[in-house]
Amino acid sequence: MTLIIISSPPSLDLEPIELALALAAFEQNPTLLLIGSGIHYMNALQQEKKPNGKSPSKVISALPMYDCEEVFVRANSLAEQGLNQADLHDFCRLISDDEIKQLINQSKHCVNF
Amino acid sequence: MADQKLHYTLVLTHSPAQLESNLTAQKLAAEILAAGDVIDRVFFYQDACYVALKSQIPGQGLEASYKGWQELHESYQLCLQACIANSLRRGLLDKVEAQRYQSEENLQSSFQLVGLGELAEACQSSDRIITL
Repeated sequence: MTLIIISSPPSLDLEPIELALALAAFEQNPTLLLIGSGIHYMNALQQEKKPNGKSPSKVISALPMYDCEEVFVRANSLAEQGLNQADLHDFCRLISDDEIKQLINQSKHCVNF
Repeated sequence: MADQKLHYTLVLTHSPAQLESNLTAQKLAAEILAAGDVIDRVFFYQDACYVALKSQIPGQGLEASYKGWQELHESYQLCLQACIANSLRRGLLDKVEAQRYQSEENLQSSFQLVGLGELAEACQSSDRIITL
């Protein structure tokens, strides 16, 4: 299992998410872990970041449809970043720091953004 | 006898103009290869694609960001792959894409443009993936 860890704020072209979708398309079972300012990727109210750009919310809401169903958000990052669980896509699961350690230990690879 | 060498993939994501991760990665790659291990590929993603820009003019006495990679490619046949979608977005074109978009080729010749399937292959076959 490949774990994609995103700790940087959303990029204009959602390139880390594109990688997750590509790995899912190649049946690599990617798991996403959002921490720090990376959790804003999962804010369901995100608007297009550039004219005629993709809607981040629509792209991200398609993750489960592409078999990228494991999406974790660090629980402690929510308050730090001024978000509530209700702001996130409903398929996101909150995860504690202890569970994050386990998740990293279980992963074959970690790719960081 | 089983291959005891470790197989690595390096993934670079940052602009060579802003962070030193490109130079760190070059030194790491040189050490891995000198130790006799294998680097399956170096994959350039997001702003790291700019490493492969042939037309860059470094300051006097400085080297282009691709120089160290070019030397490793020539010495070890190191496979240097830039994500094609990320590269096109940033205006990096190889010969084929330059013809397709009626523009000028500007990808340094040691690099190739590839799809994300190569990184998926790396996740399957490499022992270690290191992101810099």
